[in-house]
Order: sequence, then structure tokens, then C-alpha cells
Amino acid sequence: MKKFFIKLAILILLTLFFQLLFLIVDINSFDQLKILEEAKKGKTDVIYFGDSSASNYGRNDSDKRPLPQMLGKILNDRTIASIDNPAYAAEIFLEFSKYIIKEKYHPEFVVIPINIRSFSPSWDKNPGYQFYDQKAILKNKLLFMFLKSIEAFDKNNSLNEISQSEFENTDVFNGEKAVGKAKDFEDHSFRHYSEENMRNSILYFYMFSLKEDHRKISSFSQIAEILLANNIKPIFYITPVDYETGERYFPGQFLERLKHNTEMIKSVLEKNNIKVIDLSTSLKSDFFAWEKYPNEHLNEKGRKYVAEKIAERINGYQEKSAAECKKYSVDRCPGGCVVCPPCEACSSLGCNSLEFCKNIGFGEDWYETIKLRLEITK
Amino acid sequence: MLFNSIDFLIFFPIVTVLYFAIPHKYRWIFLLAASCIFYMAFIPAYVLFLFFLIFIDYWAAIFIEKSEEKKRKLFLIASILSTCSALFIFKYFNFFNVNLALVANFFHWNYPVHLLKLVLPIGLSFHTFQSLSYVIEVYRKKQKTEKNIGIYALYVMFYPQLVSGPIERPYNLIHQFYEKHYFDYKRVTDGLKLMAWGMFKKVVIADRLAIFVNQVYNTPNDYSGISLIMATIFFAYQIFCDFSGYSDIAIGSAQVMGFKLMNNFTRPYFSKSVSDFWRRWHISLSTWFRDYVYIPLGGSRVSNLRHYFNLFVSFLVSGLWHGANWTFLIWGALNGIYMILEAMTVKVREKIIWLIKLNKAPVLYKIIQVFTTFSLISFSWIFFRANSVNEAFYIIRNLFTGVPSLFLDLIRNPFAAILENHNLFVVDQSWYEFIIGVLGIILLEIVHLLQRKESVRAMISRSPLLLRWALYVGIILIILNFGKVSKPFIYFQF
Repeated sequence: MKKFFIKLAILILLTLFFQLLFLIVDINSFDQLKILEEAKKGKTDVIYFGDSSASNYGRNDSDKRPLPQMLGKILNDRTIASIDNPAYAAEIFLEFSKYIIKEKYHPEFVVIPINIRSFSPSWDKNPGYQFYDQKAILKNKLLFMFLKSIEAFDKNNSLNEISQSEFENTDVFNGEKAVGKAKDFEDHSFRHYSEENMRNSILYFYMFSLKEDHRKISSFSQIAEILLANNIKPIFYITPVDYETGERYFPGQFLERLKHNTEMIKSVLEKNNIKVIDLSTSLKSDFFAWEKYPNEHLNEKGRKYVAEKIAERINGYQEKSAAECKKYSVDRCPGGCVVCPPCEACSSLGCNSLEFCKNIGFGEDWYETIKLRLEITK
Repeated sequence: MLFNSIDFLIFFPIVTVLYFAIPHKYRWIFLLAASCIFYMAFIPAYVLFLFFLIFIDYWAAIFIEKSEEKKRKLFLIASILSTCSALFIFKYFNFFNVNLALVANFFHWNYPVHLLKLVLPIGLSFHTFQSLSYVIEVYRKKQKTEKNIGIYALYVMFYPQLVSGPIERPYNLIHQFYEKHYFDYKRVTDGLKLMAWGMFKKVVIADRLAIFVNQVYNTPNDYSGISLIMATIFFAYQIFCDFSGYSDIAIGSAQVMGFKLMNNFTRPYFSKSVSDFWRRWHISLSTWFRDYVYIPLGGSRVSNLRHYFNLFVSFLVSGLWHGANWTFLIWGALNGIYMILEAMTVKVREKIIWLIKLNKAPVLYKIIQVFTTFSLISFSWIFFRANSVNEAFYIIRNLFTGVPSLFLDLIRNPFAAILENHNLFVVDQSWYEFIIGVLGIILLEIVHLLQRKESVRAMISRSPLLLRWALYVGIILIILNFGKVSKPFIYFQF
């Protein structure tokens, strides 16, 4: 029996050694982690949490650069690192954020796209878009090694995997009305183009009615809180949606649903004092690159437009002096300046520095709130 | 408790070490307690139901042994009825109820009987059959009654084979509880090797193939042709690896403690005929039906017509044993028909083979036999796996849709054909999973080929130290890193 236990102990030790080796190789093949580490070493100013909507390009694009590269070109005085994920996942962005703040060095900005389609059942519960391992690695490498080693025996599913059947049985909604299960839409929608498949795809991807307690919204809230608490400026932007195609299949309803869903996201993030750049309806169909079914992949023009908008917001954070701001008219007031009256009791408006406006009792957002009222009065 | 669970990874070494540490006379009590814990990991209250069945059959056997001929039969019938009633209530009541309601509805009769909302106790069909085997053998006077109710309870509840067999016979198992088992290095390591191989089959092959099979069989209307064929072949291997994997772990874990359970599978997909297949597949159940259904009906020593009837009934009951669903009944009936046709055409087939001189090319002849048997068995699996009879017929109707043109494309330009039609093969899943699944099947069949001459475990034992240890560490690493997330065994539902 002694001989057996000695051999068993050797076998266990050998297995542990090789398992450790295997997992270390596995962890080191996690590209995003490498980029995060390099960003830390290079003291990168801006980190961009990208997905396929940032990197895919149109067939006829002459400029095939991904969106973060275009952004980097515009913000030429800043360094930018792009952590591209193969598919959009707010939950992994949350883990990236938690990982970033663990380090001493923090970037100044983190750009977080909000992909409306990612909230749909086609995406949110899709087992292929969960990145269980990556999330676990970012949380705790040692715990990941242990959980990964016992995964095949773990009926409690500690890595929180969503099963294929759970995904397939997720309800699909048109507004508030359940119209089927994910499996009804999943298998036939994209194989063959037909008007019916196209309509089903759009319904499946965009026609849900977003609720405040959606786990992805909750992830965004947490991302905002974590980054702000660590003096990192989060730049959230809602990625453009091909609303023209959507309206063609769901006239009137598509835009209404899109507005409801984007407003829901914005209202939640506004509680964290985050102003979301809403680009959801900013681009027409000819800015998109999709060929088979509607998605958020942009062509050259589209990516450039989005990069400019993000750059505008980032540059906006650089406060400009009062003298510099006064050079601009109200309707051309640039980022870094704000619109407010020239004195506390004045009824006119001018482009001024943020410091000046604050001193006479007008906040950064004051003009935004009265702008709409002014337009209505006109 | 699932074999592929952390609970079992903790349970098994503790139970085994304590088993050898405890004095022999207390071991059965310890094993019985361990088996109760194992069973109670599912639904604890059901252990009381199991005790009730044990109590009934224990006393029935004692009464059978003590009584005269007429009364013996009466006690046997009472015991069979009570055991089968329990099985009927939990497993078949709703099935018969639904079908009777359909008939009543057809004739516009009032049918007020409601469905029962009961959860099937895990492995009920297995331990009821094991109990029946004991009572019948006592009746046949081939087995003395077991006076110690604890030992009898252990015969029914012995944890390695409690929930999915092998379905043991009393004369094979009960006496082993009285024997003193010593720690034998070779036996223990052989048992552990068998357990590792079983685990590999379950978590690396079966659970991986399940991804593809479930994808297609849960929405068959979205697929046709090669996707359906792939899913059906994969299911043939999934069910084999799942169930034989379970059996290997059961036999291996019993072997570690010194118990010898009956073999349940012998390379079934190398069978040369359907009857050969049923001699190699789920042997403990096939022989159960042979001994307690087929032979009592008269077996083959009757007229041809009666022989065919006996075959058909045995397989029909086997189908029903697997599940209360028309799909299982059709599966059983189909296998019965295969067996009848095989028995009916023996001479014709021999003549054809002699005419075309196939007997002169034994290797080719064997390949054709194995291929034909595998195709027939895989075809019958369609009914076993399909969620409904309608879906099974849809799959059969569309099994070859588009296959001839794909076949021609494959001949013309295989790479282009595969690339162009890759989604038909991998059915929305990743190539990575697909390739690992296929490699698993290839490895499995290589092992089966090697097993023709001798046990692979014996071959490994003779190999150089470095290779041997590399294999041990390798298989554990493969299980840990390529095993899929813990899923119950298919046969647990029976």
C-alpha cells in the first residue's frame, strides 16, 4: 500500500506541475491582458475597449484602419491602446476596468462603446459571447487556474457558463410582447437572405424593450463608478445603428424602440454624471459595412465620423482659457469652453471658460438644459 | 452523486481508504452507509422509497423460499407486481394516462384522470430490475435467500452500480460482500485506469459530441442531409461513450475495492450483425431480458413464428424500459424487426455471399458487415434521441437531402467542398470542438482495435516506464483541460 501511495503522490505532483504549465501558457495567450500590461508600461493616455464594430471595415474601403487607430491619428498628442474583444461584452469591459484600477498607473480616458444590439437576447445570453475564462483570469489568476482544472467536474458551474439550452430558451420580445424563443430565431435567420429573415433578424436584434435592471446596464454603471472613483474619465458612446434599414422593416416602431432603449441607458448613466455620446441615429445606411444582416459594422466614412465625435469629447475635457473661449461664437463654442451669460444678471449668452461660468453660478450643462427650451420658443 | 462531479472526487478516495481501514466484519455496514449518502445526493427522501422496495423483495424472497410450489408462485407474482407497480407509477403512469386520454377523446368519452407530478427516482429502472433478478433467481432455486437484510440492501444499493448499472445478478454479487478484499496493487491500479478511461469517454468525447447532437436534434427542422447524418453518427458515439464511460467508472471503482462487476460493453460498433451488437451492448440489460423475458417466453426452441414473436416482445419491452415515450417503443420495435429479419434471412444471405464470393475476401466481408450493422443501429438511434416521433420521421425523410451533390463535390474537389459546406458539418459550432470530438472518436476506435487481442491496460503495464507515466499524466491532463462542463449521464433518466 505504501508503494501505491508514493506513486500516487508522484502522479498527483507531476499532473499538478504540467497542469500549472498548461494554464500559464493559456493565460499568456490572453491577448487583451498583454495589451493592458503594455498600456501600463507605456503609460498610455487613452484605452479603447473595442469590439468588431471598431475593427471591421467595408469591402470597398480604401482606409481599412480600425476606429481606435483613426482616433489615435486625430488625438496625435495622446497615446492610445485598443483592447479589442472579438465580440461585444459589457461584462468583460467591467473586468478590464477593475483590472486597470488595480495598477498604479491609470490612463486619463477610457472609451467604452455601447452596442445596442448587445442587449438583445441574440447576444446577451449567447454562450459564445461570454468570455468566461478571460473574465475569471482578470478577476483572479490563481482562482481561475483552480476553477479551470475542475471545470469538467463542476456541476455548480463556478465559471458561470450559460448553457446552450438556457440561451436557446431565452424569450425574444417585440417591445413588451414575447414573440418566441431565441432558438426560433437563431438557426434560420442568417443562412438565406429573404425579406422575412431580414425582418426577423431586426426584430431579434433591436426590437426589445430595455429595462433599467438589464445586467449590461448595471455593468456600465459599475464601470462609470469605478473609473470616476479613480480619476479616469469614461467616454461612453452609443454606437450608430442602421436605423434607416430598421425603419424600412418596422416603420415608426424601430426609431421609437431605439429611442426608448438609448434613453434608458443614458438616464442610468446620467445618475453617475456621465453624458453619453449618443450616435445611435447619427448615420444613414451608407455609412455601414454589413453585407449579410444588419449590424454595427461601419465603413471608412462611418468609422471616421465616430472617431471624430470621440476625439471631440476627449478634447472637450481640455479646459481652454477665458480669452481663448471668447474668440468663439455661441454656436461654435468648442470643447473645453462652455456657453453661459457674460454676467450673473445678463440675458445674453457667450462662449466662456468653464471656470468663469462656474464662478457666476452656471454649470457645465446649464446651456444644454436651456437649449431645447430656447429652440421650442423660437 | 454524479461520477463526474467534485463531490465524487472527494467521496471516492475517502470511501475507498476507509473501506480498507475498517475491519472486515463492519465493511458492509460502511459500504451501505456510503451508498445511502451517494444516493441521497440526488433526492434524499427517495432513499426511503428504495428501502421500502428492498423490504418488500427481501421478505418476498424469504416467503418464496419457505413456501410450497403454489404459494411460491403467488409470492413471486406479488413481489413482481409490487416492484413493477412502483416503476409503473413513477415512470409509466403519465404515458399511459396521456394515451388513454387521447383514445377517450377520440371516442368522446369522459376521462377525468389527471397526470401525476412525480420526479422519477434516479436509476429506478436499474435497481428494480436488480431486485427482480434476485426474487426470480430465488424462485428458480438458483439463489439462496440472503438472511442479512443489510447485505441484501447493499446488493440493491451498492453505490458503483446503483443508478446506472451494470444490472447485477445475485449469484455474482452477494457472495462478494462476504469475501475479505485485500489491498492489491495491480487490481487497484487497474481499477483506477479503467475509471480514468471511463471519465475520458464521458467528459471529453460524449459531452463534447452532445453539443453538436443537441444543436441538431433540438431543432431538427433547421437541418437536413449531411448535418442530420453527422448528428446521428455523433449520437451513436455520444451514447456509447456516455454509458460505457459510466460503466467503466462503476466497474473500475468497484474493482479498486475488490469487487468484480459484470462487463457491460464489448466494442459494440465492431459488431458483425444486429444480434452480435446486442451481445456486446449493455450486456447486463440484454442478458436480463434474455434470462427473464425471452427464455421464459420460449426463446428460440419454439416454432419460427413464435420465436419471432418472442424476439419482438423482448425488444419492445426493452424499448419501454428505456422510457415512457413512443420514440423508445419504436426504437425497441425496430430492433426487434432487425432481429427477426436477421433470423429469417440467414440462409438467403449465406447464399448471396457464396454467389458473389464475398466469403473469399474475409476482410472486405467483415468491413461490409460492420458498416451495415453500424448503419442499422445508428438509424435506430434516431428514434432513441429524437424529441418526438414526428421529429424522428422528419430526420429520416431529410437524411439524404443534398447528400448526392455534396458527395460529387467532395469527389471533385474535397477541400473546396468542405470549406464551402463547413457549416453543414460543424452545425454552428466551432471547428475546434468538432476536431476534438472527431479525434476522440478516432482514439476510441484505435483503442478498440488494440483490444481485439488483449486488454490495453495490460499493454500499458508492459510498456516502458516513461511512456506509461506519460500516458497516465496525459489522460488526466486531457480530462482536466478538454473535458466539458459537468453533465448528467444519459442513462440516469432511465
